[in-house]
Parts: sequence; C-alpha cells; structure tokens
Amino acid sequence: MRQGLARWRAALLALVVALFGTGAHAEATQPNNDDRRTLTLAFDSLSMSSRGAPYVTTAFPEVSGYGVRLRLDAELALGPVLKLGLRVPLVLARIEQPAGGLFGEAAWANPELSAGVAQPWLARDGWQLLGATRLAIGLPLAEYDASGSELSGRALALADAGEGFAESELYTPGVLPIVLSERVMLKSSRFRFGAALKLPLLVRISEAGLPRQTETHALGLEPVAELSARVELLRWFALESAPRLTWRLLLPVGSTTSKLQLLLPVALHFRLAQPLELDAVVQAPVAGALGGTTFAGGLRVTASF
Amino acid sequence: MRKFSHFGLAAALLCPACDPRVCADRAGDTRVLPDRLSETGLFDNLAEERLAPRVHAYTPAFALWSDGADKRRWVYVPEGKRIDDRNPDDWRFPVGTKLWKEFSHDGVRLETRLLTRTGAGEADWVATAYLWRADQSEALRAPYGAIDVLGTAHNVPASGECFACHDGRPGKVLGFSAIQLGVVADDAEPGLASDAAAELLSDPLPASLEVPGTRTEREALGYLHANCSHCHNQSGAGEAAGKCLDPNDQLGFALDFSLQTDALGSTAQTATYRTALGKVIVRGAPDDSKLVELMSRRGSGQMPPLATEEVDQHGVQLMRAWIGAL
Repeated sequence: MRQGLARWRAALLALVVALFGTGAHAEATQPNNDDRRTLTLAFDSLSMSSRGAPYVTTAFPEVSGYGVRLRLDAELALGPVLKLGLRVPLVLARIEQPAGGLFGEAAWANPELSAGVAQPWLARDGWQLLGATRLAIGLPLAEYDASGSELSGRALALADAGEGFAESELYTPGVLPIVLSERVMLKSSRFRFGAALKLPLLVRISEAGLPRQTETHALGLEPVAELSARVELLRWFALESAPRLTWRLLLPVGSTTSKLQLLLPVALHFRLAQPLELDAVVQAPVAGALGGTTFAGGLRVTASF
Repeated sequence: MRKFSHFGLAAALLCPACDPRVCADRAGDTRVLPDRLSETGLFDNLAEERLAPRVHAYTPAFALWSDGADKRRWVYVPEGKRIDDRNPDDWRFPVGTKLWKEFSHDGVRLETRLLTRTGAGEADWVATAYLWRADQSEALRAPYGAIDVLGTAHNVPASGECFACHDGRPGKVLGFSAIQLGVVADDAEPGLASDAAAELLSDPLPASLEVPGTRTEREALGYLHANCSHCHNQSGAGEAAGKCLDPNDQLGFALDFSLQTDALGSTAQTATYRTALGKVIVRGAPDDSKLVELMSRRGSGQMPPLATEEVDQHGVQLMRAWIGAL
C-alpha cells in the first residue's frame, strides 16, 4: 500500500512539476553520481531551410533561405548537484533576396551562461525521478543589421525558425535574455520520460538596426513546454523524441496572430567509444506560423571528461 | 518570392557551391545616395516629370524581360564629360554618370532604379532602387529591396543584387551600348536621339549596325543578348567581380550570348551560334533544347535565375520558332 502511494506521489509530483515549472534543457538534467568535477563539451550543428519564416519588419515579412547553426555547448559539473553551462551559437546562412539572389551572412547569436542544480528526488524499483532547475543569462551579442543590409537579423530569424521558436533567447537581437527552466525526468535503464518548462524573459536593451517603423516591446516572453521520451533499443543506440510547444505570449519585436508553435524532433542517439556520443536529429515545425515552411536536421557530438 | 523548393534547398545544403544564385553582397555604400528620387537629379520637377538638364531618355533595341513591367530609362553624364565609346563593345562611363530605370504596371509607378559611378575605380559604382509611394508623389530609397510592392507581384531587388547582373560587364552598364542603341530593331525608333548621342558620346554611334539573319533570327539573337549575355559572356568580368554566375569558372561551360559589333557579318559569326548551338540549342528541336526548358521554368534552375517569377511566354515562343527553323 505504501509502495503504491509512493508511486502515486511520484507521478503526481512529476505532473505538478511538468505543469507548473519544469526545465527545458537536457544539458543540465543529469545529476552526477559522485563528487568529481566533469566537463562535457558538445559541438552541435543544425542545418535548416525555410521558404517563408516570419520576420519582424514590414519590408521583409518573411525570410527564405538555408543555412547552418553551429553551437558549442560546455557544461562543468562542480559536484553531484551544481552545474555551470555555456552555449555559444553562430549562424551561417544564405538569405534569399527580393530578386532571387542569395547573400551569405555569418551572424553571432546570443551566447548564454547558466547555472543549474540537478537532484534525484526518488529512486525505486529501477526507476529514478530527477528534477533540475536552471537559470541562464544571455550575452546580447546578436544584431539585426551588422553588415548594413539587415542580413544578420534575417539569418538569426532563419535559425529561430529551424528551432521552431523554441530557442528565441539565442536568436533575438537587442535583448538581454534571462531564462529560468525546470525539468523533471523519470528514467530507468532503458526508458527516459521527461517534462520541461522554459520561461525566457527577453528584456529589450537596444533597437539598433531595426527600421524605425518596426513595432518593439520592452519585454518578451515565449514560454516553451517540452515532453520527451527516449528508449534505449541497444546498448549503443537509443531513439528519442522531444516535442516542444512554444507559446508566443509576448514578442519582443513585431506581432503574430499565430501564438502557438509546435516543433517535432526525432533523434537517434549513438553511444560511441568513450567518451564520445553522437546524436542525429531531424525536426520540423508543425502548424503555427512555420508549419510546412521549415525543416532542419543536424548532428551533435558530445564528449565527457 | 516563394521560389524555393525544399528539394532545391536540400540540394543546396548538401552542395552549397552548386547553387548558382549565390551572389557576393557588393552593394557599395548606398547611403551616399539621396533618400528621395526627387533629389537624385532625374527631374527638375517630379510632379510634372520635367527632366533635369542633360538627362536624356533612351530605349534599348532589345529589352530585358521584367515580368511584363513597363519600363522607361534615362541617362545623365556630368557637364564636360563624355562616355568613352571608342571601343564599341566596351563603353567606359565617366565618374558621375547616372542611369535610371523606372518600372510600372498598369500606369502605376512601382520603382525607379539608379546606377551611378561614384569614383575612378572599376568597382566604384553604387546602385539602389527607389520605391514609389502609393500616391505616386515621391519614391524613397529602398536599399534592402521590397516584396510584392503596391499590391502587385513585383519585387524590388536589394542593392547588392543589382551587381549580380551589372558586374557581368567590365563597364557595369547594361542596355546602354553600341548594340542596344546602334541597332534599330524592326519597326522601332532609334533608341537614343541624335542630339543626345552627340552630347553624351565621345565618338558617333556606328553608322549601320544590323543583326544578321531573318527577322526571327534577329529577334532571337537580340533577345538572348538582352536577357542572357550579362552573365553568359566571355568578357571575364565575372572573375574580378561578384556576380552570381561566372561562365568562365563556376559553371564550367563556355556559353556566350553576346552580340559583338565585329561579329555581325552572318549568324554563324555570332557568339550564340558559335557557342550555344549543339549544346543548349538543338537545331530544329526546341523540345530537346535546354535553353527552352530552362526559360520555361520558374523555381529551382530557372533562367534567368534572378528578377523574374513569370515565364516570358512571348520569349519562349520566339525561341521555339527560331530553334525549330534552324
């Protein structure tokens, strides 16, 4: 009876946390099992193409083009609980121009520093319930108009579309991103289920590079909810999907009539020789402003030391 | 604007160097240009369309297809300077030269493009478009271009895109040349008034430039010169500049659709006949000719690759008639 009650409590706790405050970043979820410091480095590339991602100016209401988002992720675990993180994204894109030409652009997105705590809450019958909280601050390096042609803002918008608006704190220029994310995870040796919520608060600090008539707001908030499931089919191979739903509650710039955006990713996870892991992902926004316009796929190589 | 196919994008992602539409963003600093068309020196009085002194209208013998837009063109050369036209196939324009081209649909002006030489260097040219207000009272500089302007399907190119074509010739100017002004197309008036030519040019226009062949052949050769030769030529300009297509290098073929003043003796002498027949043009077989296929396509692989979203049906029929009779 007590065992059944504990299971119900764990499930209820997971549901509550999932609904009211769970984390959206896989990077900060796994607690260390010992006191050693570990460094995890990941090189993440995501190629995307879009034929009509929304953009914020009246002159360019849409962005078409293709490109790749490169990101270096680093995470330092200072013990079993505390983790420090860094994400440095760069976008290389070719943006279609009105007459059909393509111009190349390299644009820095906002790097991000984070601190997170991850703790096991419950462990029973081979299952563990874990919780993680993460606070991140972005460095506002992204620009709308670094080259005098509004190309950098459009390159960032392309990358934002490729990620289904779920990483707007990285790709929004002129804002200071403050991101709180919470995650809960239930896992066994073969299965992992997660729920997460991310609250990115984007505080406008600059309107540089935007045409004068562009609508801007002092604050932006685009919460992201995520549900994930992963099954380890072989010792070296796992299949994972983590759909994300972004609620475009308050845009820092521009406006939209399409408030919800769903992103459907499918990832293949390969455990290579220690310490390397490889993830291959394909993802596509579904419905919303991006449905049918944008596709993305990429690789992520992770090494832990 | 929606010309991308995801198949094309996927191919481009796998092989970025294979996309012929990638241009160098050589826009120049368009901020040196006035914000308003009325300040560019085209009109003394914009409302009355009274041209400023030394501004002359001209009409090329063979027009570039612009999705059916109506076009007007003007040229200005500063006082005391002349266009060096001693080499009839490579005119050189003095610093301060301005050329305007206006695009309109159904009598509504949409944009006016300005190309001007700003310095002595070969690349010292700046181009931009001026976007007309809906009330037609003024046109404003639009360096980033615009999409579907004034409720039409007309797109205004970004400044950098202008050089995707204009970098294809060493002198940067297209449509204002010995061929375009010296050849009098069938049933047409001379493209530049004689008093204007006397004021603008260092040497008189060649007296009798005639494109060889039958009427269909002349029209076809002229069409290809106007619509294809800014990229498909062997002037070598593409190697030094940032145009999208460089037939000398990037695409590895040697097509040339130029009409040259010294190669008008017969159709066989023209660059088109010498370089394209047997390659993209199959004698007597328009359906097997790649030229017709690409001209008839819009989207991935279309020709011309830029600045058109509508097939030129008249142009395609002309090519079919010409190739069918070869």
